[in-house]
Amino acid sequence: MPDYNLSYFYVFAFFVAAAIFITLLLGLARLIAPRKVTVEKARTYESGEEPVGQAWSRYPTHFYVFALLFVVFDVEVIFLFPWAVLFRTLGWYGLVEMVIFIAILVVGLYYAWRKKALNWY
Amino acid sequence: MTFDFLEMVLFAILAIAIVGAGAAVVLVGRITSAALFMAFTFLCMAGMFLLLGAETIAAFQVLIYVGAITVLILYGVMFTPQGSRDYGLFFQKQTPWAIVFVAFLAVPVMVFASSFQDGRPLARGGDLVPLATSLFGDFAYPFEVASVLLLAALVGAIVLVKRDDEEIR
Repeated sequence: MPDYNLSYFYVFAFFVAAAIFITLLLGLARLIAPRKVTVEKARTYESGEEPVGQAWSRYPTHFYVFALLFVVFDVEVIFLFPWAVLFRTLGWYGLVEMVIFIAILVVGLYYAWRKKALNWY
Repeated sequence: MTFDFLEMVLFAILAIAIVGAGAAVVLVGRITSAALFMAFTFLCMAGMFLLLGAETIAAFQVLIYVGAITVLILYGVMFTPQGSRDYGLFFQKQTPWAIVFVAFLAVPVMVFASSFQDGRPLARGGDLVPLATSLFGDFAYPFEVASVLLLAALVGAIVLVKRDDEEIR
């Protein structure tokens, strides 16, 4: 068995072990624990308040900016990985390239900041 | 137990998970569950890439698809009004046609797939170094333009969202 496959087989084995562990524990809890379902218990937990409406309510759209910010910087990380691997080989040239790349993205972040799109309300 | 056998078992598990979760995305009634099943399909696809020996693509698959795309889809789900069940019915009426088209499409795909004699098209291990060399060497300009594209997406979202906010207030 080559080394490469073995190392990822361990990852897969961890997935399987975690799945079995959780299934076993939850199954055990289901077998042992007494279950008396009442209306009060089944109600959505709302920190002691009476829940109003359903759990699924429409979010205000300005949260979308946070999702998109996450995506933008996630994609940036994708580019950072190969850059970090070749950091020494690329030298100053690579550094300047990456600084330009990040600077353009930081303009977007600054714009979001100035437009008060980062405020959490 | 040889590795080829193990590889086949892993492939079978992943294939069943991908097809099963993909079917669940279409069949499950609750749209949030469908989105999470889609994330699971993406994760299993990453496993497939690992089996092929493409670790870089597997890592990118997890970061971009399981991370970013799923978040975008879930946000999109949370923005939609709840009562849109008619769309589900619309799609479920087309099941017979879908079966016909999938069967029709499966024939060339299977012929194409079975034409590969060697099951291992890629070299094992990391392919990050050649990728980085060409990305920062030959494709340096498209790489910088990609950041402009991301910037445009971000600014566009902010402009759209701020306009909505002002209408609400």
